[in-house]
Amino acid sequence: MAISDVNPFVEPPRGPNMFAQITDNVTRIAEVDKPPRAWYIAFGFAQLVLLMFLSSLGYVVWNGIGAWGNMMPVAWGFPIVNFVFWIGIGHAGTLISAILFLLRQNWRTAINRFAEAMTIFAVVCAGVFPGVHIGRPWLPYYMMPIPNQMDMWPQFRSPLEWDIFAVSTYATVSILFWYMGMIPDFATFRDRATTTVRRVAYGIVAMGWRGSSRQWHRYERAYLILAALATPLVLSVHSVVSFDFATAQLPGWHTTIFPPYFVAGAIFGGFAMVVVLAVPARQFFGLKRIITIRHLELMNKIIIATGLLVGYSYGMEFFIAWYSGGKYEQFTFVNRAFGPYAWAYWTMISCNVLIPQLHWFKAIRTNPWTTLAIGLFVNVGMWFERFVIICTSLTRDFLPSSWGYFIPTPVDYMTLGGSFGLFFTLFLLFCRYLPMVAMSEVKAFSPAAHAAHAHAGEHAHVPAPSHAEPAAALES
Amino acid sequence: MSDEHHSKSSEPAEAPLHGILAEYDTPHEIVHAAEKIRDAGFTKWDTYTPFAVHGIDEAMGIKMTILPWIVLGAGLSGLATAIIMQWWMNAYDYPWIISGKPLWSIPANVPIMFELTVLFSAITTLVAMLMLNNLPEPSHPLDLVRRFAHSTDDKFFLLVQASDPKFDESETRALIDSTHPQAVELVPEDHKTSKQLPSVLIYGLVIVSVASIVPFALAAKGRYSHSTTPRIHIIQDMDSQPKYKAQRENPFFADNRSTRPVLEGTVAVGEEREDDHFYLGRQADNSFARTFPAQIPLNDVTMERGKQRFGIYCTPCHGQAGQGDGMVAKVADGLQQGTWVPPSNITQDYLRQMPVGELFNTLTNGVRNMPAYGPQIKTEDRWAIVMYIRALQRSQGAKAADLPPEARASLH
Amino acid sequence: MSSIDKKKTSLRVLSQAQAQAPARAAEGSDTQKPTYWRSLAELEQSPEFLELASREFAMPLDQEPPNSPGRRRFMQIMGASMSLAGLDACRWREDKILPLSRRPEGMIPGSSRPFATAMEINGLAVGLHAMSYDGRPIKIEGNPQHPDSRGAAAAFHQASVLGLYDPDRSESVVARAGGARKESSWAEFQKTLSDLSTGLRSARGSGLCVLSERSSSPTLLAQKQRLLDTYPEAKWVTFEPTQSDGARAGSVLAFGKAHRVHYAFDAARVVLTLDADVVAPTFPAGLANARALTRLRTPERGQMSRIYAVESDQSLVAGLSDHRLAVRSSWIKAIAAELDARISAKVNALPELGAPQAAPAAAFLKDEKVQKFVSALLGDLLLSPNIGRSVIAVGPNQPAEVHALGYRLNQLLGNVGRTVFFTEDSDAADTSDVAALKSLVAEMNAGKVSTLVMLGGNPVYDAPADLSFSDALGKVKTSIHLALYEDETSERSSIHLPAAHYLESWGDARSLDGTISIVQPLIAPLYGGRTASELLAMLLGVGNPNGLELVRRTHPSLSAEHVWRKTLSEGVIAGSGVQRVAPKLKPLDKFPLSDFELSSKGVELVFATDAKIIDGRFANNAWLQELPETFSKLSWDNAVLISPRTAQELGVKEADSVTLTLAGRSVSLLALIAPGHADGSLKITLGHGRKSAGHVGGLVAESIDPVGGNAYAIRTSDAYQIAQGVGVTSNGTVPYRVPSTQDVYSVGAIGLSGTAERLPELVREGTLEEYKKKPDFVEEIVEHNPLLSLWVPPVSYEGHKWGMSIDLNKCIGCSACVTACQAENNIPVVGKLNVAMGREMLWLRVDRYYKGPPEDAEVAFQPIPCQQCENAPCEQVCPVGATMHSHEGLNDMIYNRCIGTRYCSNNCPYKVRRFNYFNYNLDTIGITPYTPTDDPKAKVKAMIFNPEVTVRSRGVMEKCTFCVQRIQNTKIKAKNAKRAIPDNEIRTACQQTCPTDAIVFGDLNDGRSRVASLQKQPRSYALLGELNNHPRVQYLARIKNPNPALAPAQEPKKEHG
Repeated sequence: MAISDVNPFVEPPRGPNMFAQITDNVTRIAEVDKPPRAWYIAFGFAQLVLLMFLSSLGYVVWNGIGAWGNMMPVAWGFPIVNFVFWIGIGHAGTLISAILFLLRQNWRTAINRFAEAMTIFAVVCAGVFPGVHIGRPWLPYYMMPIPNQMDMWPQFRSPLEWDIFAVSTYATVSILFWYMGMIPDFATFRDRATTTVRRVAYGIVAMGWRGSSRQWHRYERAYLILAALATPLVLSVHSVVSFDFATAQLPGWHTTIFPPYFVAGAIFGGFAMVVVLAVPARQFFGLKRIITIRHLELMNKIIIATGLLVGYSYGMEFFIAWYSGGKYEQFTFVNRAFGPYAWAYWTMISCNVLIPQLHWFKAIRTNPWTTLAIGLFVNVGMWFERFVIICTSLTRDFLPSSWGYFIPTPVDYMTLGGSFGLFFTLFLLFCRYLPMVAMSEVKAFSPAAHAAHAHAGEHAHVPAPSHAEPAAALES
Repeated sequence: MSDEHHSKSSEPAEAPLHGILAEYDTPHEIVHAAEKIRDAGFTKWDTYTPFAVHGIDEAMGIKMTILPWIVLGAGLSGLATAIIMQWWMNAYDYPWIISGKPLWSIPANVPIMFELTVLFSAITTLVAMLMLNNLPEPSHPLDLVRRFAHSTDDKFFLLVQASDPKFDESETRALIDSTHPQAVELVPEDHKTSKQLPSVLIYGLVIVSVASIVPFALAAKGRYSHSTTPRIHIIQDMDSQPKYKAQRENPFFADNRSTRPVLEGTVAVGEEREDDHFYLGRQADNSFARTFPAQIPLNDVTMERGKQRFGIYCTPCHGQAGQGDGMVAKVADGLQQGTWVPPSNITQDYLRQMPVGELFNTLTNGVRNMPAYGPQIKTEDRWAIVMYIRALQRSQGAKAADLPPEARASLH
Repeated sequence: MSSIDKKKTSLRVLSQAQAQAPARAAEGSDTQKPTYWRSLAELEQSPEFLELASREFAMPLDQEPPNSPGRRRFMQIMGASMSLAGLDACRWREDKILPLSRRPEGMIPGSSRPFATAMEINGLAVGLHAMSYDGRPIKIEGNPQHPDSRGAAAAFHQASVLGLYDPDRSESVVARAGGARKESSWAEFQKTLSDLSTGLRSARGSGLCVLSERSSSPTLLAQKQRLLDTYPEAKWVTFEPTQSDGARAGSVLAFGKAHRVHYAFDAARVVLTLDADVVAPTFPAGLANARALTRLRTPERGQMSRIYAVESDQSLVAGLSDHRLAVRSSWIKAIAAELDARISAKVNALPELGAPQAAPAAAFLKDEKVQKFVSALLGDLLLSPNIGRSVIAVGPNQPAEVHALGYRLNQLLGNVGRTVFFTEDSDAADTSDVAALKSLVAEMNAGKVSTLVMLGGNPVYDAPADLSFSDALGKVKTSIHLALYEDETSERSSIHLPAAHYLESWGDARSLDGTISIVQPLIAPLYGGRTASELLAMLLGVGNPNGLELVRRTHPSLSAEHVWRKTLSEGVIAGSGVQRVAPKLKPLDKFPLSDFELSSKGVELVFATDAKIIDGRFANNAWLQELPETFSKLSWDNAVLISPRTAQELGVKEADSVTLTLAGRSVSLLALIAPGHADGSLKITLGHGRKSAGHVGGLVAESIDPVGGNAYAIRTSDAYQIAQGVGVTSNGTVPYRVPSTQDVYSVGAIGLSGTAERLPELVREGTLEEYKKKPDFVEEIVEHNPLLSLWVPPVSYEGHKWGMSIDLNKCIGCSACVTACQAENNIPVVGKLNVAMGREMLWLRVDRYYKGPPEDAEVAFQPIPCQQCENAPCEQVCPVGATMHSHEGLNDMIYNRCIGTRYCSNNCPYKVRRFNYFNYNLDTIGITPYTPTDDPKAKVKAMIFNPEVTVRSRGVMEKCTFCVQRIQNTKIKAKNAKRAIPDNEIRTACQQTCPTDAIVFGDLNDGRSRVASLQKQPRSYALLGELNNHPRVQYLARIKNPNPALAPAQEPKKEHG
């Protein structure tokens, strides 16, 4: 088998029954003693980019924020744009695992695990920026309510202070959610472990889970509660981030539409990123059987929907500006579309509103590669959305005398590009060592598990509409 | 390990029995089996499945967990924490005037209330779930059963514990057999594997917890110990100012002083000092004035001022009554230094005769080893002191006749 | 170790030293011991000093180059703490307290007091108060006693104190022979001089020539006389590059004698300026003019003067003017002649003034716009109430005839003696400076000059290009140059002498009206520099002259100690002004006007004095370099200004690099398109592009690029003020970010329309008529919903409630306030690149707006400090509460709490907040960001800081504080004295220096305070008040007094609106 030499993951899963096959299909990615060369190449590259990231940050911390292009009036430049961008990315995961869970969308089980992983890594990337972008990067703890003899407390009216709490809460809850979901799978890894190291390592994180039904009972209850908690949370995070702008006085920021607008955008961008990661992952790690074309299609449908929401918000902003009759507000939006930064605005529009419309064609939304391409476009577009909102609005506010023009420095680009290095380093490590798919959940929704219910009487939950796919995939 | 465990399980009789384990292939088999065992009224038994088998809860008769109520409590405490924290910090402990808004107004504080509520609940959810499931559980007799490794993969198990009151090896065995399991196995108690955590883990925990104390210990030491060297202060943002405050060091000048002497001949604005009588105590003919200048009101306010200043500047040498018996003088006399010129008794005659202008001049420029007080005492105050000195001189050699009648009456 | 006992000894000797210092001074001038002493060792001539000194060319220690090993060792001995600081910099820095062992009377540590002194530029003095803190000058204010200043000061006065502490100043006497630079000493120079003077005496001074800057110092002029008596053959030449001869020559032409003209603008109902920026600080008595001219611009008086400006470039007076006509400078004489013709035709002129002359035949006069303007102007001038109540002022760049015409017109209109006065100019030379210099250069080339003594000035740099002074200088055997810096001229002269800064000097000088001010030193010369008159005294054989004595000798009338002290305290000699005279005007035909063949072919080039660095003398002053120029808002650069149409014709685009060619000489520099500039006229300012100015202004030797383009390179003696037929070639756009603080890039159509739309709301303006009809018309300019608040404000500001009122009708945009603010508040200089990137730190900025069509755009100025909003948007967004409100309503910054999220700046509608993107004070704080430096140059530089104000570090946000340190100081004083704070006792730095009194600060709770009454005035409005921020700063709307005859047609306005 030539292919299987290059990539050991392509050959069909082994096992007496479907449960075993699912287990094998997922676990072998982590259990293969030596990953294929491709993984090493990708990882090495990610490391280099990460190095660039760290060095650019080090340069900034040593010399001052001036190393970036920030100036007056554009006191927030790339760093905050990147922050909002990554936070946005970090929405799909929790959304998929929490909201789709509550909505009984069982197909989520195929993708929720690494969507959650992506969320956490994105939040990590985002979390770097607020700390580093401040003028005195050694003092971010001033923003925490730490008791001190000078009674210097944070100022809780500031949306930035809300951010601190919102983002850290979101990060914590996402990690808890992610970890809790992985406990049974860790147990599987532990029980299949062939080396002591693996057994001890996975044993510790599995915490001695043995799948007793009495444990499963509380586990499922806890999972449901976490999902219920995470759902409003995921909606709140980007709303709070949008408060940074919505509560400000600046024309172009001072808009009540921001919270829903930002959340829609976040889901939009987040799903695009999931797709971007899912397509190569399923191709490479032989997860086609579990992450099927239908999953991609469903996600693409969500992308169209949220894309339309975002497009609507863009339009609505203009309408409100016109309808408000505010001179400065109106100018800001005219300036956005036709001013010196028009190119950024139209990049955003074409990437976020026009290109996703291609998904109306089934041929396109069921083709992994077009899906990937459009996903990339959307991510670019979403970055530019934040750039347009932050930089363009700042360059021209109330007094024409204080207008300016923002030009990023090379360090800006290094920081932006470098943050992807951090992201992919973490993601590649995740693929290598952690269960990429929630095995227990996939099993729970597999037809074999379902055969039970006929006899087991009423359904505890899950009228699984989707029980065909995993089976179909696994037989193929 | 697995081999050893294989050999162990081959002679089950050795160890006391932990329970009977049955293996099933499909979810619905185990559901049926569970129903049987439940109906048989067993209490200490459980089923082990790779995923949450639907309907097993009913089949086993598991009661609803109290987890939600714990989480509710945690959420409420989170909410309370947020409210109290924000109110105390911004409105009570250190009230700030921010954008003309009231010190405490709910809307701005809602986001953090929400976040803390969620945070507390979420953490509690996981922790409580683990505790209720009494996890982490390092070891379990079933770990010794080889086939049980499949419980997290593709097989379904049922265990009835020997400690169950209704347990009877043969009967229970029969009951289990009646559920057509794939296999049945007697599970011995586990004596081999120790019940406590692996030593690596324990040491690791100890080291970590000790290490985590160190910074606090250092901080505590720093707080309660003294050192002569200035404290370590790596990032000197604005603490070390380049500017020169009064009388600081500036190595640019050879005398190292940032303070520069006033250049002779220069006159600051408003310091003409035209009035010789007032500033120098001299008359037009340059002789010492015998009267006080017009600027000095001869009233008890001035006298009080003079008394106070005299007390501050003069008494250390000249003493309260101006007899030249001040503290400094006493000490100096004690030292028996030949060089010491004792301060004069300002009530002596020649000083009584001395014109006020000359007294003022002495105060201003000093005499013998009495330093000049011009730079230190304001001009008006120097005159006030002179006035007080006059009063002292008058009072010292005073006769009863000098007293007002009523005061005289009070003497005996 | 040894450092300790060294200190002890120095402490011991100090008291005697001070005791003896006066005595020593009295000993007379032949002693070798310096009267000004900075180093005890120097004063005491202590053994170790002598030992060291002998090694170091017998120089006082502090005068040797700071980086020489000797200095290093000395530093180690003296400053133990410094080496310590170097070693463990990560420990908290120890501060030593070193008081004077005997404090001089009246000097209170930590409190500053003013000394009266004066600064002379181009022969005109402005009286100043220098604040002395701990015996160091730290801030310059105007002297209220001085007729020109009246408490006001210009930007370059404010910045002069930075020049004092400039580490680039020359530190020692330097001898040059054959290109070899050798550091020498005053003692050696003394020897050289004595040899020299014996030779000169025998030759009766032939071959000796003194080239002096223009000075009105009685002492210096007396010495000049004495010199010429001692050396009858010697020559004395005065050269000042920015001196224009027009006024003098014109007066000779008109009266046959040199006179100075004075204007009483506060008595003038109609003012016409012919190319004359009468309110510019560089204009003679400009500060006084500004005050007088704006006095009649207060509509509340019901009456306003009407100002007409005819000029080629936008000038400060244009901002005030009601009507403005942009004409080439070289054409203005035609307008003058036209006026003369038509007025003398109207007025039945006195016969001795000659027959009315025919109107000139200049084509452009026929232009309908010009005609309209001129006749409207005439209408006003000849209005009966305005007869004798108008002023016609002529600018320095205009030739003699125009000045003569100006005098004549004022005479015809009966202004002389009522609004226009003359005084005799006794010191005036009989030729122009250029002519004098030309003849001098000729003699130098002829080898007739063996000894050239240059008292200041920088002729190698600023002499007319065609004279090639540098070569001529090479032919002089001994050339002595006294200057603050080792500049272009020093590098080519055989001996360079370090000059004393005026804050280190004794001296005297006259203002325009002849009032004499005494120049007092605030600090001993940092580098042992000496003044021009001290050098002259040496030349006259005094061994070690004493500046104080020299000055006192000049003024015997002040010999009495009391009188002298009073004079010093006041800073001016009362009643020393020159008598006014009524000179007799010569008939017109006695001065035939040159022809009016005014071709509109080609373009003219106007050489203008730079408003910031004058003739280049302040090129190394970072504050002035960074100060945005009033109109182009350009800092760290100069540009050639071109009108939009001319630019189009010449194919020049905004921010192109252009090459100007004139008589084979050329210079390349930035071109900016200036709205309202006269077509066919180019303007370039002098003083830029210096090659040996210093580390700020350009030092090619250390590969520090010159700042801007050097206009002197193409300025020749025959085309001195205005050059015709200049060649302009555009080099196209170059990759260059223009270091401008406003309109940093082409604003574009959208930007322009947006600006035009909101401008009427930002800078509210009306005519006197509108104002009289409806005094509160400003209220209706912006309509907005009632401003309601959700909240009850937490504080009702009892006690003090600080506020500010800024009168836009008085602001002339001179930017003195900006530099005053920089000096007061330790505002860092960010440099060219950072300005270009939009990171300037100035707390107070003066916004400049153009309105109307670009070809004749009106200009309006608006100073923007922090508006101190009561509902400050910046406060609520700060996560750490680093900016919040005081109980007096100040919007305070807490620097050490600030972590630099910059959110406050984003949320500030006025964008007045400034952020330290880098550590701009690094060179004074340390080599690495966090270790204190021990570089002595840094220590000199650090002396500029105001000790009352925190020096901000990197990553911190900052902004205008209403000079809170001044507020607090006054509050403390008042509290100690148990008295209330009277209005106007607390004055912010910007308010204090403003020549037109446009800024008023005070307590709004005090009903009688000026600010309270001004903010109650109907034309007072809050900028962006509709945002409900309740700013504490309010603006008084601009009120114009246009001539109805020139009122713009109403219909087109409607179309546009």
